[in-house]
Amino acid sequence: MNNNHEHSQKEQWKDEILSSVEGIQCPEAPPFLFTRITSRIRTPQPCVSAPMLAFGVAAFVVLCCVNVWILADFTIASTPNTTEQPLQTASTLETVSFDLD
Amino acid sequence: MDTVDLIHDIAKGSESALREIYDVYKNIVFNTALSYLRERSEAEEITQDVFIEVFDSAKKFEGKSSVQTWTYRITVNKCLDRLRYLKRKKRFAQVQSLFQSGGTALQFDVADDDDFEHPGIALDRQENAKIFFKVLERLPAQQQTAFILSFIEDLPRQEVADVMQISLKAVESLLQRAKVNLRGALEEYYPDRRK
Repeated sequence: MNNNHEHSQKEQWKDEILSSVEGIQCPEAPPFLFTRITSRIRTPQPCVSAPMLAFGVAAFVVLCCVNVWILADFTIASTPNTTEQPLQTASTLETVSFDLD
Repeated sequence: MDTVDLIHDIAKGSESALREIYDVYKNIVFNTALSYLRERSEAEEITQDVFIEVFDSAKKFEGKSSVQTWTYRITVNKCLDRLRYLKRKKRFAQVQSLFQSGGTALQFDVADDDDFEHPGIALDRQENAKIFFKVLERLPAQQQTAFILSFIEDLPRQEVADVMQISLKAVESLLQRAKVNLRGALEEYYPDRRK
């Protein structure tokens, strides 16, 4: 009984909180904002700032280096090395199977 | 003059047309930004950014939606971008403080404005509204947007859907989930209040 009462009180409190912003008055934007907007429009902004550009170029160079390094590594690893081990000839294979019998 | 005509004039570079559009929408842009960012100076910055974007993008306005919907869409996008930036900045400040203080104390550059008082809310509801804004910022971006536009900006559901470029059903579903999440988040504030 007490729990139910506590629960309904809590739900009622939540409703109060959620409805606290209903019918909110729209506050006035400060009057000086338009002057700032027009002055920003009249002063052309650089599209990309210098540090951003430097960071972009650096990131691109690093990416290229990593790609070249991975590609080079992969090419070396996948090239067949003919000098290491000669392939088993058909006659040796035959001999092996003969021995097993 | 019709707002669409004003946008066409802005596209031609008319500052007086921009002034007229500004006068029509400045308060709703400022109010929406204030609801997202909970700081006056940030909301002022967003308001400037929105109208500069209106000026720059007026040529791209196709008239598929109303000027108000379009302005709301720009505002919401700017606010979400700014929130993402502030979160990144806060995270960076946390990491930086770990190195600066040897990991003993955390200092944040970005203020946690827990006591935000919305200027459009009556005094007797300010305390409740403070708690509301604390839990609102925990919602995922989409739910936050649906809630702000529906209940703070009081827009019709169809306009909310148009601003968010989603279906009416999706808006209803977002609001449903937002309410559940807000109620869940409010749980932890209830005992403190009753002590």
